[in-house]
Amino acid sequence: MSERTGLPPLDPADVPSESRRNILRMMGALGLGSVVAPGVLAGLDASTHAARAAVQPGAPVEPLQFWIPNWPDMIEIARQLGESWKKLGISVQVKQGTLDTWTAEIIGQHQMPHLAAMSWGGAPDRIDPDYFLTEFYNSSRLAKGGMNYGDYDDTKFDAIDNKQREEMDDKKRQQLVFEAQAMAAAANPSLVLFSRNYIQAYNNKRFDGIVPVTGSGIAMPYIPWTYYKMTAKTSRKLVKTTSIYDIHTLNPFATPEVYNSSLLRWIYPTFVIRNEQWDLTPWAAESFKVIDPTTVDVVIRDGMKFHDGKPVTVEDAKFTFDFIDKWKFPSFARVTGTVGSTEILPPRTLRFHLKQPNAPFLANVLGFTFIAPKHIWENVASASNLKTPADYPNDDAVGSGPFKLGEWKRGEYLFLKTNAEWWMAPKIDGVYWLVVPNLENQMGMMERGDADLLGWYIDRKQGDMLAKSPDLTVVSTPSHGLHEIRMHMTMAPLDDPNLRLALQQATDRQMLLDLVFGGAGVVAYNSPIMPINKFWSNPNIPNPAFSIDAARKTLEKAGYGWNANGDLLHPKG
Amino acid sequence: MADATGAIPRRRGWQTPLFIILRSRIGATGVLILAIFTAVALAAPLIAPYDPFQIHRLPDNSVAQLLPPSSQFWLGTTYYGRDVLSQLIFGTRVAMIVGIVSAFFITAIGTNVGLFAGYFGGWIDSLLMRITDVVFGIPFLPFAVVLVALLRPSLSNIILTISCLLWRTTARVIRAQVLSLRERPFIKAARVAGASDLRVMYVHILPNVLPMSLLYVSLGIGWAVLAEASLSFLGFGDPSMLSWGEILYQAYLTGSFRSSWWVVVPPGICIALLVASAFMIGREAETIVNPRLRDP
Amino acid sequence: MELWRYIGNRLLQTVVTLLAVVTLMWGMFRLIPGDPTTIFLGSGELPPDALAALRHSWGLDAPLYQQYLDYLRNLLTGNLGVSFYYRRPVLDVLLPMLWNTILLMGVAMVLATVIGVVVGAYLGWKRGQRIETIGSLLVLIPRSLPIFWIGIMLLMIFAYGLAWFPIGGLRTPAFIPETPLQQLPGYDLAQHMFLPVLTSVIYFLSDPLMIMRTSMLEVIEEDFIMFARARGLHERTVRKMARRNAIGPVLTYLAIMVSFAFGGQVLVEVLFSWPGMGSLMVNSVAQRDYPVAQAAFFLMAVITILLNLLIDVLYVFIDPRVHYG
Repeated sequence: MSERTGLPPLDPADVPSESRRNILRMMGALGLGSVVAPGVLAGLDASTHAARAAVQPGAPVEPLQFWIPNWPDMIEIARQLGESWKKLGISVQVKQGTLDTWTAEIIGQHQMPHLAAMSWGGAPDRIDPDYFLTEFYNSSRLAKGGMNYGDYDDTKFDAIDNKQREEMDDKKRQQLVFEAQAMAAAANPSLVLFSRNYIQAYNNKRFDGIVPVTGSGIAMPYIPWTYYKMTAKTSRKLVKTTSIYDIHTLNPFATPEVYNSSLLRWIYPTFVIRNEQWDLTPWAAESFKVIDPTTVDVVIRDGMKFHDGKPVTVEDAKFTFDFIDKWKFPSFARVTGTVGSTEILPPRTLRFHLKQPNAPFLANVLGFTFIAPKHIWENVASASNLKTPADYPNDDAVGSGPFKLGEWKRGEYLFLKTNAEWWMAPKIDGVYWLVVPNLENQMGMMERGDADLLGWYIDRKQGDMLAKSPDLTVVSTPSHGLHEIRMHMTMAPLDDPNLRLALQQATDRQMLLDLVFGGAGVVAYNSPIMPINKFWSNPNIPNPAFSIDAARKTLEKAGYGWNANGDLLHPKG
Repeated sequence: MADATGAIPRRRGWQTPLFIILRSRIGATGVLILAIFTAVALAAPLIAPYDPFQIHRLPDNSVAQLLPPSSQFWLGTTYYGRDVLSQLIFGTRVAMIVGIVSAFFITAIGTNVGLFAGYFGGWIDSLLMRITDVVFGIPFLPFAVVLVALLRPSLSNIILTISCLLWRTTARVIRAQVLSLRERPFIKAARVAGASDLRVMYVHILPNVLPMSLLYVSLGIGWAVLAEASLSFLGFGDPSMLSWGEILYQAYLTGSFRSSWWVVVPPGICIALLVASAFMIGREAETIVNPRLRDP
Repeated sequence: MELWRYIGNRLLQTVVTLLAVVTLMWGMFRLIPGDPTTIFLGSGELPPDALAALRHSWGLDAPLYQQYLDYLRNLLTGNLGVSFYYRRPVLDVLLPMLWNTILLMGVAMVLATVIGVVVGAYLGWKRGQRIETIGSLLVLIPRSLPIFWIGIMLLMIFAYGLAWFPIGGLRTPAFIPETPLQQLPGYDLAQHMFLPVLTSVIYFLSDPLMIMRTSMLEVIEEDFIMFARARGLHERTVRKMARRNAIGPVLTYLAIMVSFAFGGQVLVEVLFSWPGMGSLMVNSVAQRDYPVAQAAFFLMAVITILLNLLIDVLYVFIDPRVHYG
């Protein structure tokens, strides 16, 4: 295992933070910064990396700096862990900030202190194990902007990880994925805590046939199977769902985040979709076949029409991939990274030639890319003065999917109307996504009947409150998202694997889950792939059982000691 | 009240500012409330029935979430099973610290800016007043949001933010006062006698603007407490310091309003009482400055 | 001539002030960790080199002074830029939100000022009497309460409890009027506006009220009131005269009130999910959408500063005793 020590190299292209420091120096020179600058500099430097002083043998272990987003659940978790670890003689200093600042510093700048906590949502492209394994642990993600901010760097892991990505046979791939997880688990790069259930509610007097989808619940747009199956019990067949977010663009080529891109996939259907059991189901495609490791054939469904009446053909499909390749849209990096070229095999087959074998291709490329209408998009860039078609407002979004664009009132709601011509047309007339940024209001609206589905997640206690209403049914769905605390493996004292193991042993996951989420969730294995993801999750690597004694023994064996105050001391040499 | 030289003589006995404030019922009430809060803040660990961060559990080991007021928990528990009353009591500390420290800075900065601007006039005045205009032109809360996002939410940063922005009114008002005082005979006399500028400002003018400053100290406490509560409600508060605004914010995030009035009403009442007491004192202090406002 | 020189001077100073505000805000946004590409981090959708490409296409890796000059140049030509988050001209994003805020804030401020002036004048007039003391004390209550708490109480009673009003938002999507009352135009909007406006009015009215009262107290002492009474004018007429003279400070306060109202708006909009400038401002900071955040600040600053200027100049005409200082 090659673990680097010392400071991560300074990125010479790090213009933004360099300029920031220059501004501060200037302000300081002018005397203007006297009030602001120290605070800012302190804020900047306090979160910067590696302990610079050499570790003194026998000296007390330095306090662990813990960066968390300022959410109540995270604050609770940090507080509880601080108390548990105090029993090992370790003290914890918690820094908290807003999510955007956390993201900017930890992921954007890799200004990682000892520990950083985050909760990752159960988006559909995270079902494939490649996502978490590669993003969190592969050395290719060590650069700023990547999610391997804990500096896990192991060429042996990389080798297995890269191999699983290219293994098109599921059974063989499973073995490799299990092996990769076991290897990472042995190094303890992260304290993986648990996954919380998505608890949501719907109005049972108005709608029926509600199908819960693992990882998406009953109301979120990510795997919208619920919406395709639900039926109305009253004459109003329009569904009103509350949402924390609003979309920010109707252009599917722009760089939207998961929520936005998922909703746009209702209008622009993908080739395949996951159903409620996570099986890949042909959607805009009629069928697909892996010919050889770098060749995949996809047959486009017959008889589909765009929302403006024109037919959907395989030419449109090929156009879409050429278009993506031409403009290299950043949000389609996964497509340009895997698809070499496409070829039309009449009458309706599109043949993909992949650059290298890619196992997640079916789920994360075919399940992500859609068929764009050639007759609209081929003129977009030249007709307007736009630098890239990703800037096109696309106010009349014309897709071919089960829903059409009804109306978008920014900041208020997005209305998607049912497209009765879709081969599996939804039984409802449409969905209103109401923008209600706070949960209290969402719950109030559900209770009053102003909304039919609660499109975010609440927790146990809130669910119990809603369940008191006879009109509401509360549904709890497991998710493959996770709460985890990444450890900075190249920053003393966490560069000692024994200390990391001890922290693992001193973390009471069940207690945290019970306290913060009322027990509605599943304790994790020592892997970012959650137990609910049965096929890919390696059950042979459970987290160590919670035991302060075991943790202390681990530390003792590694040469740590304690002073009279109970503080943990570094090994003596 | 001013004597022949235009100075306001030091008052004795029943005319001192404090007594003027106490003489009216409103002022006295304000001082009393403030004193009570101060006492609570100082004695918090002794008064509070529980540790405000302690999570209470029911006999079946589940968390005692959102329990209504009872003999065990006089104001019930929060979403995370903590005693509301204890949180309120410890929250008093945060409110007093934020209020008093911010008010001090607001007044110190504002008074000094007003002094320099009013006394020196000319380009110093223009410069300082333009800076004040800039600060006036910036709406407080949006700017505070940006500043706290930049500096990270913590109590000292919040105090810093409040102090940086809210000195503006004090500055303008003190400046106006200094402008009128500057022309009074006793100041001119001091200058003729060879007193340095600084000495004139701080030894001669300052005592005369002090009542006005005090008024703004008291107003400043009110503004600061409200500002901190607003910032906390938007999620920019310091969660490790359970201020009253933070209690409300957590109730809001966890959707406790609809069901649990005991988490919502008491913090609001506490904020209102503290701020009202500050404004009440301020109102009476105003009569020192503007005697026509005094009750007949 | 004096007057014109004064106005000219003030105008110049206004421009300098605006420039300072704009520069300050611009600088602050650049100092916050992260940039407009931050929202795309953490989803794993964008590999680091795609991020760099995006940053480049958005001009974010140009040297800072260059970005600043570009921003100023655009601002002077009225180009508020393109929102990074929405990929649309900032004006497209800002204007609808601005109208929503002005609607709410405007109605609330007008109501608050009118009520404040009337009640304040009344209280000042009735100086020393029981009703004045009680009134002054009562006014303290809304002034001491945080505006969002007022909103929460109103929500709890009228929206959650009695269900007379909706919980938030601007309108009911797919609103189908049922009763004749509901068929009145604007019914849905009015229903949604009621609680946020009420919250704002309760909060805003204490300052105009107290200022009017104080001003009234001063005006009553003036000689001309005594003369008017001596001339035998009707009490009501005298009161009207007093009011007209006392209203000056309230007008001055209006400029401050606007600036302070913008802040209060943020809380009200967040609480009631009202899609306005306040929530846009807070969100755009979180999204690091510089153009939108800067434009929103700029707009608020312009309105506040111009109002200040206007009132200062108007005051010169209203009250000849004022210096051209």
